[in-house]
Amino acid sequence: MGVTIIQQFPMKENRTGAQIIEFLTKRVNALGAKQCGTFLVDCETYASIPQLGVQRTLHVFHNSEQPASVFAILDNGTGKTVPVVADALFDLLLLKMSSVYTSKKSKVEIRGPRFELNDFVIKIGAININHNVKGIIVEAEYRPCVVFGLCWDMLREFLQGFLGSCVSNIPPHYFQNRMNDIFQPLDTIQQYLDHITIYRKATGILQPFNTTNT
Amino acid sequence: MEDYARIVFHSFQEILFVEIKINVSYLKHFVTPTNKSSSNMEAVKEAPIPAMDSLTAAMKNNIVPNQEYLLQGSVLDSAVEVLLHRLRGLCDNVDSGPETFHDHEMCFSIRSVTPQPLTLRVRRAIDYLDMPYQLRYIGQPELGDKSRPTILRNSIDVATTPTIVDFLTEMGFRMDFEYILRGYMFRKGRMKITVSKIFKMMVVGKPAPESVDPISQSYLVELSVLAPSNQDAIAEDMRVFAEQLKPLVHLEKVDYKRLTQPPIGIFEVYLETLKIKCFINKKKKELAVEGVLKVVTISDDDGPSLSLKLSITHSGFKELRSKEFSSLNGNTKLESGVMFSFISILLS
Repeated sequence: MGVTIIQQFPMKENRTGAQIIEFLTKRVNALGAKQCGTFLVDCETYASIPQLGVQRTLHVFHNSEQPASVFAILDNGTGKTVPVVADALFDLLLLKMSSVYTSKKSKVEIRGPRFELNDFVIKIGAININHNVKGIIVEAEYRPCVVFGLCWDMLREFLQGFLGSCVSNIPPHYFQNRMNDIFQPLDTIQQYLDHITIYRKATGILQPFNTTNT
Repeated sequence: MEDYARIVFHSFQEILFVEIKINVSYLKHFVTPTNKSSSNMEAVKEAPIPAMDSLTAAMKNNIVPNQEYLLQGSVLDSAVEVLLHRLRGLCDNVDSGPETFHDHEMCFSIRSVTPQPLTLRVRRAIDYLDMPYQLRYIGQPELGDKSRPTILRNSIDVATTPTIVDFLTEMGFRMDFEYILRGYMFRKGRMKITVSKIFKMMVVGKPAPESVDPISQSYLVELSVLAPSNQDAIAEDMRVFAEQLKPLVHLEKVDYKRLTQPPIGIFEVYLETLKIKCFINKKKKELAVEGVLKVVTISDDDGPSLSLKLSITHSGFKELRSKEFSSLNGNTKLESGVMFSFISILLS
């Protein structure tokens, strides 16, 4: 368990998700990274029934990196979010709640190859919302360290090394108040949620993001 | 995955317990070496199985422990030592002695369009603060006919982070009640035996020892096994074990329906006439039951208050049951908690 950051990679108009993944795969292979299987992060979103008053949103995540856990993040509709990490049977319990929380039928899946390069783990995934590719997400983990503030500079440099200028010099928004906290698997999931929210708001497929030409 | 399910079914009982906790997709990582650099085709083959799919497969293969077999009973405080001694002799953890536990349980419910509210329980260990919280769904108990030795109820037990209390509250759940359980836990193979005392919390959310009060002068005894469905053989083992605990404690299938019906209108003890009078509301019909009190002991060491042991007989009750009350004054109206536990004893 180390520190993980998640970065969007801009989609190009004339390229498919698979082509971009292949392009980035070549780059990380050139660095000496070895592919170690694939990864999958999925998210299902539920909404509370109108009888409960203010609509609450529940996001339920699974991550192949923590296969025995379920991550749930509740947005109470008034700006408060409460996360909970539970055993895999939490999914079974959610089925019991189907009369109060109904699925919004917008399943998000991020899948792609997983690479290892010494102390780093790199994952390159296409984000699918209802089976449409919406963009490319790159996850980089530095395993020997658990405090974001201590390894952000190196992670940034590492990402910039193979992704180029789309990686901002400013730490991701999520970490701005968490620079010195101990990193937990939930922090990875929270970052995924932030990115998924951006993609959901965006309309159309293959829209470019993070295209800052600095 | 098929192979995995087969292995589990053929393994020993203890191993079954450990393995069913592990996500099937996780095991796949051990089975399939994933450290080979591979082409795209191979990568597709090794793709992680979506969590919902592996859960569905686990359900189909009956390896999800979602059924609880249960027997319940109670013993008076004065008899608990004898029972503990007996259990120490019968159960597995002989060397280490019984494991103690001190838990705080909160019961949450949410109302939806259906008339039946959804109830979830959260339990946490007060003595081990870094342990995960347990979130639990318990379904309607099935008593079955006489041939079935135990109660069978659906049960989903999930370990979670402590944020679960806040999480449920924000989801719209409301806390109905909470209590403290303190006692001993024994193991016998796959069976779990708990002997515990239930305490009422005088201050909401404060489980401190000085602000809790025992709800009765007895210990709750539970014998349970959490298992995947269709493992009815274990129920027979439980019946045999329960037999071995007789006559120290009678473990039975407790009919909750009879307990949850509010049985009491008024419950009064008349010390002068040595009569007990209670009105039982049953299907809106008021039934007055008048039994004869036999005072077994009366002591007035502590000034005007009395302590007495009551026993009651009535044609409606099969057996003679007794219950000890302390600190009663003449014509005392007992508070509902005490009445309830007395009535439960009478009806059980």
